[in-house]
Amino acid sequence: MKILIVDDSKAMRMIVRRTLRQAGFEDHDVDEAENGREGLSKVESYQPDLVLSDWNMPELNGIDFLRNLRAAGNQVKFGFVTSEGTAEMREMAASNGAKFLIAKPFDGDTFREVLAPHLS
Amino acid sequence: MDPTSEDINTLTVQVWESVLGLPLEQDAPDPDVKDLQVTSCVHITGGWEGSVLVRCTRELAHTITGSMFDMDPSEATTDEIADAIGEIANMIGGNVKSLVPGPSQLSLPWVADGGELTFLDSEPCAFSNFVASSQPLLISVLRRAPGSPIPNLGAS
Repeated sequence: MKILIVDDSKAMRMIVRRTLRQAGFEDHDVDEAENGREGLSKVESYQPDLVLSDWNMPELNGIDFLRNLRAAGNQVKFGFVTSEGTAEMREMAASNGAKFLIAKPFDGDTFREVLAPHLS
Repeated sequence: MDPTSEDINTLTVQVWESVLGLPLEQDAPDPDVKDLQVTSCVHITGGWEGSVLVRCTRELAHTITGSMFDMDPSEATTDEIADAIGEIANMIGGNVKSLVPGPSQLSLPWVADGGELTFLDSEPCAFSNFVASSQPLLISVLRRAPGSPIPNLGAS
C-alpha cells in the first residue's frame, strides 16, 4: 500500500517514517509533502491508500487539506499525526472524515495499534 | 488554569523517551541562562494566552537534531536545527494546549539563536530544568496578560 506523509517539519516526516518501520509497516511505499497545498497535488499524482497529515502547517493546514479532498470527492483514508489532541480537534477531525488522530509524541506500538486496521 | 511544572516535566520526559531516545536527567539545578543560546517557542492564543519555550545549548541543539534526522550531530545545518528544535517546542506546546482552557490556537514554532529574550506582558507560570545528554535544558511556560500582543521575533 502507499502512504503519504504530510508535515512541514522534515524532522517529523523522518520520525514518522522511522516509526512506521518500528511498527512493522516497512514494506509499504511512502512519499512526502510539506504542507496541505503540496499534499493535494501529491494525492492526485501519487494516489496514496492512506494519508498521515500534520494539522498545524503553513500554506494549507491539515483540516483544510482534508476538507479540500472531501469537497473534491476524494475519499482517501486520512488520519492526523499532530501535536494537538484536544477533544474539540478530535471531533472536528472525525466530522470531516478523518479515520483517526494520533497525538505527538507517539511510538511504534501506537502506530501499530491505530494503523493496522487501515493498512491490511 | 495554568499548566504546572509537573505537567511540563511529564510532557518533556514523554517527548525525550518516545521521539529522541536520548538521556534525560530530571530535577536538574537552575542552568546559567547565558549558556542557553538556542530558543524555540510556540504561542497559544484563545481561551488561555501564553508561550512555551525550549531553551538549550548549541551543543544540545546539534545532538537533538542528530537524533531526529538520524545523522552526525556535527553535520546538522542551521535549517535542520531550527526544524528539530522547533518541533520539540511544537510537541510540548501542543500538549500544553490540551491542558489549558480552550478553545485556543497553537502558532507555528519559531527558533532564535543567541541573546537573552524578554517577553513583554508575560510571566513564568511553570518550568522544568533538565540535563539532557550532559547539557542543560530548560522548558518553561509563560502566561501572557489577556489582550497583550503576541511576541513576534520572526519565523524560523
